[in-house]
Amino acid sequence: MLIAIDHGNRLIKTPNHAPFTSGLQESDTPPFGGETLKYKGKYYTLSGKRIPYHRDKTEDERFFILSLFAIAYEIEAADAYSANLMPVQLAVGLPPAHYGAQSKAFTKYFLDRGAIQFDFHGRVYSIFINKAVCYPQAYAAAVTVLKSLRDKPKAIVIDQGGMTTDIMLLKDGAGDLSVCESLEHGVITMYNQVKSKVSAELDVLLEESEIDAILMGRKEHVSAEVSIMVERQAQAFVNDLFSTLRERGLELKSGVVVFVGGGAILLQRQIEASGKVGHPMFVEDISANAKGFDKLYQLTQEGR
Amino acid sequence: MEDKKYPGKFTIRFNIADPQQRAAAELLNQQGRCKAQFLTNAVLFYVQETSDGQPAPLPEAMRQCSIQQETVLAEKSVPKQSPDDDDMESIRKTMEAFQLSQNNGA
Repeated sequence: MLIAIDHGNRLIKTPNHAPFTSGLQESDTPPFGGETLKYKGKYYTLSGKRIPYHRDKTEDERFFILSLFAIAYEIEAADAYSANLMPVQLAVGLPPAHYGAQSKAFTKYFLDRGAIQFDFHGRVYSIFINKAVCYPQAYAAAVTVLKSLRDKPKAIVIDQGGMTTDIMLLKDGAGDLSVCESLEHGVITMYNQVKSKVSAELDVLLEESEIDAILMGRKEHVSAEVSIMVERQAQAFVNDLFSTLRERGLELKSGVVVFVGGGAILLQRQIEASGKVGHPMFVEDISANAKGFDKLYQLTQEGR
Repeated sequence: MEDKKYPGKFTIRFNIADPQQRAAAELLNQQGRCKAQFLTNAVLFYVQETSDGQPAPLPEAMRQCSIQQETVLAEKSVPKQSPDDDDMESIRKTMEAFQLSQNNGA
């Protein structure tokens, strides 16, 4: 069974399940409540507190454990559970600027583990990862709307994630890797800036979820002062990003600019209000990269 | 050799010094009362008769399992939309460029 997973720094996304936070708690005894998986004698529970940023996700086993959750969710969504050993093929991804240096190590991280057994939702899963293929994020999301980009002489794809903003250039729908960057300028950076400012000037400690709510238009839980400050900081964050891109020689007023990723969905109003993007296109499906990995796998691997 | 009194009964000792056998023993110890079913599944997957009745190597057995699984899933899935040639061409060119960057370790 093919399973596509987008391992974000903030959220794990798959094509057929709601995203979940890239956070994990480990214990030696069964925990109370939460989504828990048992693997090699330890209990792992999904946590709302994300793992601190790691440029290299293979440094430890946490992203592998999160992948087991993702695999189980996708198997459940496909109603494909079997008590027998299930072969699994993984389609995963990395930021396009890190792809060259890290993709081999990332696919190796999932392979050569033999039969993997874990307990989840009252059932015993036995899986065997017999293949793992890595694809570039941002491009994968663009593949889901490729028909509308094929006739565009220039399209810039901006994938705004939790920790990074990835940029790549398409010409007539094909990637031009002369422009391929990953900036450590994701929404987590914005959250930290907003929290610092609101705490210092208004003495209010905001959670990331509250910042999200304000930016999505739900402001009833905070004062007008706080919501205005949050909106201003978010606008400043977006303006800074576009200034950085301009310094790097990227023109956003011509051609199409395709915004993907959770950060782009969150900051759509600020992006449109900046006045610096000529023709924005928003891919509003937060799982677009995962769906793109799935599609790329089917197009490039099937029949081999 | 005389017929076994209980043909379904086995006594087996794994060599814990061997990493593979130790891993197999650890897996079995996690099965509780389901060891027999777990072994049944594993043996039937591993042993696939070829035309001369010889067992196939494990990778072939896994491939057969994969084909069976994918056939079942294909029956449940939505028919795939075939990409047109222009899309395939742009995807091919882009992935070739990324493969080149991978080979260069860029």
